[in-house]
Amino acid sequence: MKRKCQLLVPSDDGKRAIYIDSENKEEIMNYIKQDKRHLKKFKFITDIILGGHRNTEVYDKENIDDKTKDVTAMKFFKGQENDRIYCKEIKSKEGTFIVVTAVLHEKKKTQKNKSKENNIIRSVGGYEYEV
Amino acid sequence: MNMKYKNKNNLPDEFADLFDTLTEEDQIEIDAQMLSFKFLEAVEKYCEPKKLKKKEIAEAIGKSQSFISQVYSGDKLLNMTLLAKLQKAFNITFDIKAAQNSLNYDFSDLSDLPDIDKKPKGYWVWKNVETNDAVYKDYSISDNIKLINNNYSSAG
Repeated sequence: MKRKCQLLVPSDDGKRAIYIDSENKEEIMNYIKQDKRHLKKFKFITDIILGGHRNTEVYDKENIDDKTKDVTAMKFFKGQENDRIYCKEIKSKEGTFIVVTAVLHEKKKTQKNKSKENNIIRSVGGYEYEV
Repeated sequence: MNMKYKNKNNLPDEFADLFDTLTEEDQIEIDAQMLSFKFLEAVEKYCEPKKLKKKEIAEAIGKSQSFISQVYSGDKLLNMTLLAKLQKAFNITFDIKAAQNSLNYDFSDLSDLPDIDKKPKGYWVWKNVETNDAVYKDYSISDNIKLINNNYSSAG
């Protein structure tokens, strides 16, 4: 069954947009809005994505196999808390590039992905969204 | 341009005020982080197709690899001396230009507008707009009012 998502941050030119998974939105929003430090970091990451920039230090592909090609991660505070919001990249019918923030994963412990992270990445890889 | 994704009025109420708690000072901090990152991005792009490593950038300007990672993350900023070192190390010149930001008129919702000067081939309409932009003052347009010639032939 397709998952639902909602528009969270559109780009000024309408070519890109950040969406949020409806089922996980409360957890993700609580994380982003917990304090200014997190909100500012989220704003920086969305500015990078919506501006069409490539900055693997804060947003990168997480494709571990063919089924997870469109899975990415927003990286919060690398080397500190090392939190992640796993995302799915999709295109709308109108051609808008959409990043759906799908699953929050706090305190990623190791640099390499371990089974817990891989399970989340595979789950997100299987998500299909209604936009 | 896709209005569905451009129009911030399409945002659900619960997300519309997401960044409202950020002050002007916070936004300037984020803009400064973006600027620092853009300089590194420009160096990277100039050096393509060679994929420039963070270690190479760090060594070129006498900083640690960790410092460069922090600039990419927005946790540290480049200063003018480091920009000058980047120019020298990679034998490049940053081409600096200033440009007026777009005015970003949003024509997708004209429901609040009065029908004035209705013509067969379109409308002349007015809409309240932000006035803290210097461009309005430059053109001596009165506060809060801006004329827009918008050829909405199908709207009538």
